[in-house]
Amino acid sequence: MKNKILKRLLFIILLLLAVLICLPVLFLIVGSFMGTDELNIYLGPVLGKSSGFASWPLLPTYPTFKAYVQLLLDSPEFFVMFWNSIKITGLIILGQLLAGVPAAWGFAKLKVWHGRLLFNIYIVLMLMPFQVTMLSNYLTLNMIGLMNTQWAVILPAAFSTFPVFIMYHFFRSIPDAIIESAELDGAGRMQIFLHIGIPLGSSGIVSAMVLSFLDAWNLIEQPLTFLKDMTKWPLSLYLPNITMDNAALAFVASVVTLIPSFLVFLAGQNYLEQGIAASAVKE
Amino acid sequence: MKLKDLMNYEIDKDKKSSIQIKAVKFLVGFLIIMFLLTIVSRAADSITITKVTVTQATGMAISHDIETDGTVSSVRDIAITTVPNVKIVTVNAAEGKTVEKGDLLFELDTDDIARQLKAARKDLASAKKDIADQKKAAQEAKDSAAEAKKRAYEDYNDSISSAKRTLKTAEDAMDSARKAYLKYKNKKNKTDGSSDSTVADSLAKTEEEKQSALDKAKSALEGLKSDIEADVQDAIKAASVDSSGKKTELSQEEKQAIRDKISSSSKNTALLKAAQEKISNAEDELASAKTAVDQYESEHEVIGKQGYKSQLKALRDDYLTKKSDYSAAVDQYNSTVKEAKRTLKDALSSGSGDTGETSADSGVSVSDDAATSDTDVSVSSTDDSSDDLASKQKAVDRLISLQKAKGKVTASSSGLITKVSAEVGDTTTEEAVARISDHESGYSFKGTLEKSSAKYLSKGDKVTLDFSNGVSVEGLRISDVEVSANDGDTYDVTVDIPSKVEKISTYATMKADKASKKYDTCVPLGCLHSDGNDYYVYTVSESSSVLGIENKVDKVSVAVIDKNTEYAAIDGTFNYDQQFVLTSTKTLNDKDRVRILQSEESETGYHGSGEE
Repeated sequence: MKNKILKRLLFIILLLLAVLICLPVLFLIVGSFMGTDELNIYLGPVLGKSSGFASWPLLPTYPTFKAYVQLLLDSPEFFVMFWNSIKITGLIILGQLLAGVPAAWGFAKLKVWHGRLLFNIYIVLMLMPFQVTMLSNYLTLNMIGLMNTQWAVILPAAFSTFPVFIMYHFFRSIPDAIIESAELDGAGRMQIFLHIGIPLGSSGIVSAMVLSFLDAWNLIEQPLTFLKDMTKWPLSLYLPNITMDNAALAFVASVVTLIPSFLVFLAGQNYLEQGIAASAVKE
Repeated sequence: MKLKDLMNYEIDKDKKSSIQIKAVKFLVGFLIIMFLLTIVSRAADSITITKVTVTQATGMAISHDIETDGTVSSVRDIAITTVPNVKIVTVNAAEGKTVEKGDLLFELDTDDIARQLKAARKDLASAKKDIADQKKAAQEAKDSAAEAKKRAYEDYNDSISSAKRTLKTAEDAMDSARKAYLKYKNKKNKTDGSSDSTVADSLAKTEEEKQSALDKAKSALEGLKSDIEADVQDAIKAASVDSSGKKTELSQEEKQAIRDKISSSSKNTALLKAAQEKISNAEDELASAKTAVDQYESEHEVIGKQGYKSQLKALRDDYLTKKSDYSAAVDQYNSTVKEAKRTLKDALSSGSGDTGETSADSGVSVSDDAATSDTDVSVSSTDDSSDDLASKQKAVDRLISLQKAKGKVTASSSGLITKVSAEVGDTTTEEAVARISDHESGYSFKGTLEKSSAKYLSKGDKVTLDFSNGVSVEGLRISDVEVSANDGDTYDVTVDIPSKVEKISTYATMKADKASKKYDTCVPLGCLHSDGNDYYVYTVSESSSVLGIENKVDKVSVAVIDKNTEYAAIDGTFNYDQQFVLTSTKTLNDKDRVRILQSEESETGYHGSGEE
């Protein structure tokens, strides 16, 4: 009984926290249905148009789809950036599948000379933030002539170490007995990887890909640094300066940008939880 | 679902797959929707974006096409006149029509002409008769005057002759008395002493000879004066007849001048002087002879006897009486001559009616004056009549020629008919029935221009005239541009049209193409926009955006240096390949995105050819 009460209390606390965390999204959705005039009233103090404190209603007073129409029907540049984001994100994930999955399998199950040491060095790279490797990335990309191309964003991300780290733990959790049985049955290394490793580690692969998707979808520094040509910019750079004139548009753009992340999150929700848990497993 | 159930909710592991599948389905659906919206937004953008055509600025001269309508008039007109009071049957003349010499203008009623001719001939005959009558009357008056003159001269001559005879008689009586006295005296001297009588006779004879010489000298002087007077009269007569044989009247001053001239001629002066000297000598000699006789007589006075003396004295007294009679006769003669002259003058004056002053010593000149006056009167009246006759003759001649031409009035010279003042059925008057411009003296075009156009034109500029009959003449020059007298804001333009230009009409359009200096930046007028008095253009600039390289327009204020109906020269700093918006599908604003429809290469090429 006591345990039951504690559980309910915990639920309420968590619910409040969840609502608190969801508030920005709620604000986004409410704001996307407001007109410019209404936004001026609420955002005026924030943007220095009027004095006092900003306030925010739960529902718009004069709801309108004007901003949606303007963005979705009258802003071709938004779609250019949307598809740029799809392209960049898709290629990053494809690259990670082609390079990261075998790498994680290798580190986890193959007997590599000083494999443990190599993995540790590899993981250290993951710990470095983008700002640290930006200069070396820039010099390298410039030397091989990839500057101001989307490959400058795609290739470094495709070979990112973070998904390898996540998938490594999943592959490690596959019992060696299964691999040995397969070997006894005459399976080759590639067969073991394709028919045993990938199916058994699929949850890890999916969770890594979901995390990579969210990461790639929200890239800001890399495209801003390596892409001078605006036509190649991803959606994350849409409307970098929010003013009163485009505030409504910014809300709608944010909502639309949110939708793929949300759907991908829903699709990989279970795997993501496992992935996050896996990355926290203590060896 | 109750809250309790919700709080006890646990994720059902078996249902995971359904959420994941739905999420993936939604994601795919979302991407499809986004793809469709991409297409729709592109299409909408393509529809809504402002499409513009652009052109580049060129260096060229701005030409001003100036055009105005006006009238053509001749520098000199010729009036077409005809015989008055004749009905017009047809009118072939029309204003603005070009005619050649001899072209038919009007046709007049031939019956009217015949009737007019008949009347004119009658008038002419009557005038001729009047003049003949006048001439006859003048001749008669002249004859009677001549007769009166003749009689006056006869009377004058008779009076003079009579006076001369009386004078002669007195002179003869004096001579005979003197001779008797001298004879008696000589006879006595002979009887008293022969020695002395010879001396006395000689002295007496000498005195007689001297007296005779004095008389001769005096008569010679008289004759000379008569001769001079005769010359004077001849000269006056000659002077009063001019080269055409017509007599004219000489004034008194002119006559006196002739007289002075002849009298003072060297020849006559010398003769008169010689005659005067002769008389003077003769008088001196006669005086000395008389003195000698008197002296002789006084010396021999003692010799005389009382009877002889008384006889001699009686003879001498007789002689002296006769001499005084002679002197009286001379006076009488002079007075008679004077009287006769006056009578003659009066007679001639009354005959002619001339009241003018005449010289006292010239009766002949009076008669000449009278004759001249008579002639003048008749000549002046004859002149008036002659003019009248000539005009009537001319009228008849014109009618005859018109009748011969069957009443057709033709153009007297080639040119443009500028005015027709008669219509069919009208009756002609003394005024001109039509006016034809004199083609030889040329024409002039007159038009009016606004100040804004006129400022580009000046005297001597080349223009083209398009006449209303379709003829176009190039290369004509403006002869004058001046402020209109009626309106200070307009200008009158005059263009001379030389006579060599054929087939012109009354109305014409003047066209002038005046080019300015070359400007560096000239754009079609479509590129230029105005906001009140401020002008601006839209230039196209490229900018990179998410959609790639996009064209945007920039609103640039410019100053217009010059412009015509097609181009404007603008002042501003632009690149040589700067593109200017020529047309747009929507109203443009600064920084608007635009799509360039097509390059204006052909337009640019045209600009190039338009350059000078």
